[in-house]
Amino acid sequence: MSKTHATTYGGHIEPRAGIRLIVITMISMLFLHYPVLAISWGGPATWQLVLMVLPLGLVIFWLYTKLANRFPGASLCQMAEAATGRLIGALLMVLVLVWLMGHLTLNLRDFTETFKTTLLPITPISIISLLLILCAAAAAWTGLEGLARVSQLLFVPIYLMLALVVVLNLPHIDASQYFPFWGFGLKRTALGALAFLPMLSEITLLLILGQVFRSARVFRQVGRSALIIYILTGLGMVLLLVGLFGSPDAQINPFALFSVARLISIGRWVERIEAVMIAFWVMAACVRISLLLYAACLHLAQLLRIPNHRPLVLPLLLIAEALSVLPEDFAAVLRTDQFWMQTAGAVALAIPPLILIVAVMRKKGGHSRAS
Amino acid sequence: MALWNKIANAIDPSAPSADAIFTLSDRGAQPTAEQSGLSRLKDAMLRAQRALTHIENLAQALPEGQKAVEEAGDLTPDLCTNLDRLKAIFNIPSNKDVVVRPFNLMTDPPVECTLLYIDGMTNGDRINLAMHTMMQLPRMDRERAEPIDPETHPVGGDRVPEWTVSLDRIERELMVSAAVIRLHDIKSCIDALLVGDAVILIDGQKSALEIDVKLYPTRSVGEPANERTVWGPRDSFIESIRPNVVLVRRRMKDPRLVTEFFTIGRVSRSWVGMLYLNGLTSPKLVAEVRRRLSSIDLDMLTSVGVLQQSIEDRPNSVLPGTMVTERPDRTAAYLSEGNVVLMLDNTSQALICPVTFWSLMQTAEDYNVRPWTGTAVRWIRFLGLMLALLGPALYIAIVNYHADMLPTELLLFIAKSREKVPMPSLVELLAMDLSFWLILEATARIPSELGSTIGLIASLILGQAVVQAKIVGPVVLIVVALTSLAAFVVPNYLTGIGLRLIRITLVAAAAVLGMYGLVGFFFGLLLYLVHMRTLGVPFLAPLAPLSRPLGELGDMPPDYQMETRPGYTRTIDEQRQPPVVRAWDTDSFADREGKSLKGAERE
Repeated sequence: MSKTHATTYGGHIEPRAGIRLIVITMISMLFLHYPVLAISWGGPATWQLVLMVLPLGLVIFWLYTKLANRFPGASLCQMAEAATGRLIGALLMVLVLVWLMGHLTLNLRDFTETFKTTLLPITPISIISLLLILCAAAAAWTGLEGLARVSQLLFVPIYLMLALVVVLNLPHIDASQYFPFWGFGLKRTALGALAFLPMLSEITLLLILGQVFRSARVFRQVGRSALIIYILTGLGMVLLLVGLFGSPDAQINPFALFSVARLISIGRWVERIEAVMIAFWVMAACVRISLLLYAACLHLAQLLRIPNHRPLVLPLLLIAEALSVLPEDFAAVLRTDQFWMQTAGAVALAIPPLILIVAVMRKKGGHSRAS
Repeated sequence: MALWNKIANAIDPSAPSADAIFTLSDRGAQPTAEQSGLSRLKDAMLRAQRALTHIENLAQALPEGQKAVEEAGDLTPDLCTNLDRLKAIFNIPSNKDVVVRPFNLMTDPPVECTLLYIDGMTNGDRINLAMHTMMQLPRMDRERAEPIDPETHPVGGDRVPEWTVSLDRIERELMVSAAVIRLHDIKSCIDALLVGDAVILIDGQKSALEIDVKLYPTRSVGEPANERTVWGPRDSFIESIRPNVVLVRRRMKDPRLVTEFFTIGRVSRSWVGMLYLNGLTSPKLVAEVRRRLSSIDLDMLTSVGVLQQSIEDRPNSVLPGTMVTERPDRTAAYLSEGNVVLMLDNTSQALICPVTFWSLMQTAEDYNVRPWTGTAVRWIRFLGLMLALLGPALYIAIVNYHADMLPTELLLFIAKSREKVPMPSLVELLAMDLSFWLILEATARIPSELGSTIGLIASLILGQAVVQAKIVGPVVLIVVALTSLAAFVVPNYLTGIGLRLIRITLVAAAAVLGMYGLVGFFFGLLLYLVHMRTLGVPFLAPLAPLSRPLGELGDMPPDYQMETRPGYTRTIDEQRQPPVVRAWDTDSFADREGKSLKGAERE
């Protein structure tokens, strides 16, 4: 391995907090249009698509674990540099940074547009965006420890709210919507699973943040548990959406979960609780944007060998905010996001296995027994 | 690294660097036996190192210690010189508080002495007893006075006394007081007088005698004013540190209870007692509190609030990281859990440090009631907390931005009630909240005889007049009254005030961005709270970071099931009591072992 970088984060986060942080980051995607994308590929059999993604995701994460074991205690930048050399490694890491920044930018705009449409239709988008970036800046500035602890506190309320939405909508579910059983056909479902796979690209964050996990065992535990919980939550969500709206209608609603919350009505007193639902949605969005920003800052700091990520928070946030206003409208955001998720996400997902292959071929690392 | 730290510090000076943050523990998950053992070993090593350092210092000082003390002393054998210096310092005769009483020891020839004390701070009977014994002294052996060396005693006067008496003899044979201390310098004499002791200067001696005759005017032990309970002990601290320590000691008959004293304040020279259980409380915590207390350089220290701000990591935070209490039973309970308690003389409160947010939500009464009752009360308290914190902000957000959330009938009712109200709902709410604060402040300051009058006027004005005059709507009145009432459910006074301030900012956020703003600000608040720590203990522990035991947060287990001490205080001995407290109950053993003894007996 090349010269050791200064660690930008001195502490560790506990496994449970790590799992909750990653899960909240990933399930916040379910509040956006991503479940709708999955339904457009899988139709009535979207649940099969989601189930197919699970083993694929676990296999990819297994490769990630192998890479982490090969370079214990190293960051993704260090791994890339050690395995592929300084120049190629830096180029690969720039690709990861570009993916991260694109992801951050599009998510920022996506959430802002969603909140504007559903909550604050007459408020200027810049004001809505301001609160989100302020939260993200504060969280990224103070570091991962606080964000992990906030996630730990928010995890149960968010899941309780999701469970409430599911339970209160159970009477409206029409089981016939799940048929035909094989949906658009097994082949299309499988292809859809492959197309959906880049949605798991955020597990790359685990390698970027890898140093904060106390050991390889914790890293493995956090990644595996987060993936399983995320996929199972996604499974529940698509089952709910398809069961409530049917796959044709569910495909055209970009705020599907918001619409689900609007359906709730009990005794003319418990109704229209989407604003309460959105409260948890906003918190999940804050966690997600904060983590993406923190990861981008940390990754760039490691790439530039800067010992502290804090000086990068403001510049990267400004770049993300400036880029996020480029798409003309929400439709353009959705199109760009879909393209970015499938292309850049696939690249980000593939880079760590590529590094692993090169490391094996070049016999770099090799501390595979260390955990 | 140092450069980046400087840049970071320049951008945000308030943010402590990672190295600067004192941390007791940040262990997150429950430590393994190995980690726990290692931790105890480290604690033991720390204590051993401290003991070794102490012994080393003593060994170095021993050969020259006595000589150094004597040389450091600036008292001269000339009584008049010493007396003149003290008189000058205490502005005698202008200052009528200090009593100077010259008398002679009935030796042959008589030896002059002077007794000094501050009137009103001393016990006259004990002074009389000391004087009586000395003045009735029978003929004593005479001793030559020690010659005065002008080099070592440059302040010495012209007169060299010829005769004196043995100080040892006076101290051992004549003094009936329990505590007699020899003083070698003027500063010690001043300190002794200021704390209420008497000082005797003897002609021909380079040392003076301090006699413990303190007697402060104090009130008797009464009921707590702010931490009342329906059940449980009714005694509270008073404005004197010694009786306060005794009140705690009566509840903890444990020789490990240590009281260390510090004198803080250049002018006030207040006594601060630090209480902890030696061998149980984390030595790192004790050392840190000691370090912080020793470093305080204040002018006046007259209240626990100032002491609290002087030792907390974030004194500007609206929520306290330490707990002020006036209850000895509560103080003893926290001492037994490994906390350090600070007591300030002349105040009727103790400072428990550190505490977590959840501690601030507990009362002394929680453990006196049945577990389920206590749990229910605690949940009601949390409900009150959320209501007090979020109630007005939610109202503003719903009325202004998410009116469709409300059932139609309720929405129509609110709309109708606000039909003729000229002000926006935000102004309505803030005005009413401000009025409520005014009433609170007024009732807290005015004489108690007028309290009911003010209450009547306030309720008439706020409860009826403003609604009838259509200045505010009745719903706002209900919201403000309910949230203000809920704020009083929070047991800790400082926390209650802090929550009110936070509530105002949440209302502002909700007014600008509705539920979105409210939640965004709440996220920021959570972020702030998870970072807050005092004396190394995270404010939201044991929930964030997670540590055991968690049971006391929401539900309240009976005392006999609380077998371990809180993890966040990192006590040396985490086991509070044996796993089975109710040893007579065979079911307890069965539950512990995972099998039913009763079932086995039946078979």
